[in-house]
Amino acid sequence: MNPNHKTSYRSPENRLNTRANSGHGTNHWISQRLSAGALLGLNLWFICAVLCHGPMGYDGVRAWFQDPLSFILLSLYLGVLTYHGLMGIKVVADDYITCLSWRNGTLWGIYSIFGIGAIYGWVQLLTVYIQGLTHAS
Amino acid sequence: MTAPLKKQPIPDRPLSPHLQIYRPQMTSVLSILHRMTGIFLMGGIGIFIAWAWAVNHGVDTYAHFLTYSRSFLGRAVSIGIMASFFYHMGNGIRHLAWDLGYGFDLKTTHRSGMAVLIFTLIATAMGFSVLLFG
Repeated sequence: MNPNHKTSYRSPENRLNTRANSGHGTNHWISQRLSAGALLGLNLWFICAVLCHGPMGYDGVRAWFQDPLSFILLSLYLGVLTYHGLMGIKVVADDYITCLSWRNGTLWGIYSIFGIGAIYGWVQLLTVYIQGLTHAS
Repeated sequence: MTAPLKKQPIPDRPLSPHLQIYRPQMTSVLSILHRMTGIFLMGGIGIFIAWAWAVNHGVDTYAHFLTYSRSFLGRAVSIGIMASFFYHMGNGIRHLAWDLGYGFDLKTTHRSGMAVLIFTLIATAMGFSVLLFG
């Protein structure tokens, strides 16, 4: 059996000129929808949390960050937001940047900046959470 | 096996969607808005990270963060982020409905598009009033 039969529907011109999501377009499409669904729930939680707490001040925000459920949901929110955003950026880059090397360079640059940024942000959330644990003990 | 072809040159003519002669329609304008607001919201992730950083770095840093966010520029960015957030979320629900096979006919598409625009306006106005007076 031809191991490349899955890609045989694409013409050689298509493979040569676009290479947008060669071989894993379906996974990308499904992941983008699943992350959108997750974000719908997380958005509603975030809006409700901000509205329910009202003006919190520094101590209030810090206490909210140190609540275990808030920490888990804020971490998830940051992770899924970044993941969904980067998937969207890839679709836009596939559509508008025709030069393959420019497209890949731009995408990896954006992936690196937002990947490092998200990890840095999560470390900030984790630090505040751990400070809450040590303060309580 | 098909012989590999040479890379095709980019044609020297206007590329689709022919923006010079294309009459903007509700469907196309809302679609491009979805992408633009998505890109703008990537900046919102940066603000989220800055917020977490400010909370971690103490009350003075947090006070500076609030001062910047309450400046004219901060308020303008807040409105932009909020409008983009509500639009992208509302239109995202519309996209998910399409993916499930609902709302494809032209009349429903126009109605759902209008509903998203009205939702964005109302939600942004409410969000901004909470930000100002809440």
